[in-house]
Amino acid sequence: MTRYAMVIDQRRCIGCQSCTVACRTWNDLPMGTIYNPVVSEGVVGHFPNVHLTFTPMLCMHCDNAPCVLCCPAAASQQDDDGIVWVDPNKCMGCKVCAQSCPYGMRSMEHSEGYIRKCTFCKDRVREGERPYCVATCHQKARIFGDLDDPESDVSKLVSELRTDRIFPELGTEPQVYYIPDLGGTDL
Amino acid sequence: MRVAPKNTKMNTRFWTWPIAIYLFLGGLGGGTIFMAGIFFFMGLPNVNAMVEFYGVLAPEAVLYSTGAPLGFAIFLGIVCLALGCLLLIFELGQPKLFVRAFITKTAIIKWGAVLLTIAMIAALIWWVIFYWPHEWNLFWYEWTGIGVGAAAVAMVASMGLMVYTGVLLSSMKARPFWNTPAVPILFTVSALSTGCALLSLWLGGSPLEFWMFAPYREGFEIVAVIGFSPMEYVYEMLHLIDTILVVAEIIILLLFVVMQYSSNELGAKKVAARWIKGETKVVFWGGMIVLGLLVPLGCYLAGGAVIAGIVAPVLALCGGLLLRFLFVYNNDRRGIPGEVKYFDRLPDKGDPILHPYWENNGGKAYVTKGAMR
Repeated sequence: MTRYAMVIDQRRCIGCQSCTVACRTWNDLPMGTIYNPVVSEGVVGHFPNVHLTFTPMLCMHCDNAPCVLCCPAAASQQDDDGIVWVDPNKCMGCKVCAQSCPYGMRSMEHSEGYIRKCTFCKDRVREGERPYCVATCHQKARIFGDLDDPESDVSKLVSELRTDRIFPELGTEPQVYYIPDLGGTDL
Repeated sequence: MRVAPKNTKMNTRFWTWPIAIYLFLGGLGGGTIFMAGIFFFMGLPNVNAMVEFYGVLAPEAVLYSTGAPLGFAIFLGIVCLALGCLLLIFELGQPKLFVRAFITKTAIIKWGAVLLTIAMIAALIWWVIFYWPHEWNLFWYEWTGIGVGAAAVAMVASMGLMVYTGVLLSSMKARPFWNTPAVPILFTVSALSTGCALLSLWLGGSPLEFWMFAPYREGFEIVAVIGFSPMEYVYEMLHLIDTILVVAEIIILLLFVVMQYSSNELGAKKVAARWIKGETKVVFWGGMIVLGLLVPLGCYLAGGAVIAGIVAPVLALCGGLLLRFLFVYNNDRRGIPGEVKYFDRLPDKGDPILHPYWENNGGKAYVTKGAMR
């Protein structure tokens, strides 16, 4: 079995937003729609003990995705390799999935009438390439791979280092792992 | 000094006024049909008394015993549900695909759509068999068994619908203020209360009622047979039930908000603080608690044809609508640190520098997918 996951190394992320721009171009996003914002609380601490941490966000492609369970139209769906995606021909635009996503990673452009979200660049991954944000990241802060393959970078990092996930207590089993920076993610 | 971000561009509220009105209409229609069903079943023994009196089952017997005005109230309930359905479809991004609402069985919306459909169809059958003007009634007025069955189905489905409007919100783990079992209880009590208010407004407040249905209400035959006028009885009962429901709603709502305020879940606490002492405090205390609940309660207790018959139900209905708006417009997600600041820095959709470039490309990014390969 294949289980795609992403590891984000916050020690390496410098907040350049290249992944955001890359995602916009590859997925041809309309204005106001962003699949992977790089958020930061800003500089925290008191001089000289200050630090700055960036949290690149994207769809967590949860194992127990609330957005898939709540979709009445079977448009929001999860493939066997764990990728959560929306079929625009089936989505009736009731927006219940966007309301139920704890990470706010779905967006609705009213001109289009269906929900858009990160697909882990499904079209690229199925052709053996990496998602475009991963391919773009010059800091190698985004690492993508198969979690079920013990030889992959992703499974080595997840099993060897301490990794955090966002809101794991909600039981959604998010599949994006964060290697925290010095100060942690504060999540 | 940090300036608090305005949080204007972060698109976290996907549901707006159509959903708030739909939640209200679904609860109102469900509550009306459910309460009408209770009085219908309470009136059924009267039908038997009338049948014994007349020797045959006459459609008038049913009308007189279970109340003709009640029939129109059922019709009002169906109209509420139908309007709610229209709003739901109007609110969809792709309305032509609305039939797909029935596909996934794990989805709560699917069960809401099923209950809405069953409640509307069953209530319509019930209404047509018993309350259709009998001059137009061709052959079905003797199908009382089917009518009673449809009434029972409509009651069960409308009860489910009232609970569903709350469960839809409370099922969302992403919205901590909604995600508690108190929301379905609050919404069910509020739906029953608004249903009672609509019924008592119709029975007591409508000027139509006096010239259309006064003969039924004062009908001497039914008074002669069963000893009292069922409609007078129903009207008084409705006021009593709605008084109790409004008291219950005040207790549940206040307990709920205080419970959320003392919650360790920051998203829920933030909303509760906003309601109790923040920017929504005037709407919550003045609109919801005082005008929507306490004043109707006082009016019901004061009595009188205008005060208890019109003012109280109208205010209770407005309170129910306001409750749905308060909930739908307070759907804070548990925030990710820095998220609000990030979205506040994005350009506006009408940005004078960026916007023309987007417009020239039909709102799309300027590089097409093929060019990137």
